Amino acid sequence: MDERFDTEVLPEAECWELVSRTVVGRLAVCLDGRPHIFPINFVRDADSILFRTASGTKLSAARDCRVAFEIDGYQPETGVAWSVVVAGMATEVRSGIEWADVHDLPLFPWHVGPKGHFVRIEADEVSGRRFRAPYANASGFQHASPP
Amino acid sequence: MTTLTQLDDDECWELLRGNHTGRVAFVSGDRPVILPVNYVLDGESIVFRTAPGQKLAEIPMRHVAFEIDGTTADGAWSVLAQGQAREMTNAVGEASEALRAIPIPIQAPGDKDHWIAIKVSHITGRRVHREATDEVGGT
Repeated sequence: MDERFDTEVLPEAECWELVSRTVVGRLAVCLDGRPHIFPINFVRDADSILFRTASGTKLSAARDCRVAFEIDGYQPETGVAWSVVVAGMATEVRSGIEWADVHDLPLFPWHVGPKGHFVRIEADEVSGRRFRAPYANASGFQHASPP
Repeated sequence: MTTLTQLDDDECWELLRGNHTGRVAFVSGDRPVILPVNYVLDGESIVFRTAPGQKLAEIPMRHVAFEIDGTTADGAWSVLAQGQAREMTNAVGEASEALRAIPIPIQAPGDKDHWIAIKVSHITGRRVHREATDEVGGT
């Protein structure tokens, strides 16, 4: 196989760089033993991911639990696709000082409604990969590369 | 101002049919795992190929979640499907053989000789419409 098509494992710094440049990710949680996925808007804060949520299943399934988080992207011009997965404990931001810090972060809400809670995923595993899709075409991926 | 609309089943299936990259999540021990996959829709099953390894070892015969999403000029949409995953690599019968002949448009490199099908039992979707005057960063 053409080595241009080999999968490249991304160094952690590069994974975080991609996290910094991306605004939509997917949160995976366990709910009653079953997996659920929620698309979320987020920001990176050092080695953590911050997102806002209302009270509800997303909050209760994530809070004080281990969660997984995924981002991916594709550049149609080059055929290069990449993905990053972050795993760690999710905790609600409760302290007044920390809450004030995160309150002004540019977290565009994925959907309407009150979003009174901030959740932080403290990363303890980060992995990423990149490859050139051999049969790439523009119709296959919906996500543009990060800005 | 943003408005949230639930998508009906037909719209969800249409979006699943029209896209080829999604994310599959499953529970390993008590931990959620999420991975991107390239897929095609075959009837009411999400079909993808995978190499031997964690993905293959963990997914078959489990309840899994599958997600796609995208953005439009004035908003975003997402579809979440749930169902049971089955390994179809060695399944016999006309349907299984036909399934294994389906071309999947984009593939990560490497040998991917294993076929997984998620029989969708539950599907939901939603669309967020953002008014033009909205500023990103607002609530």
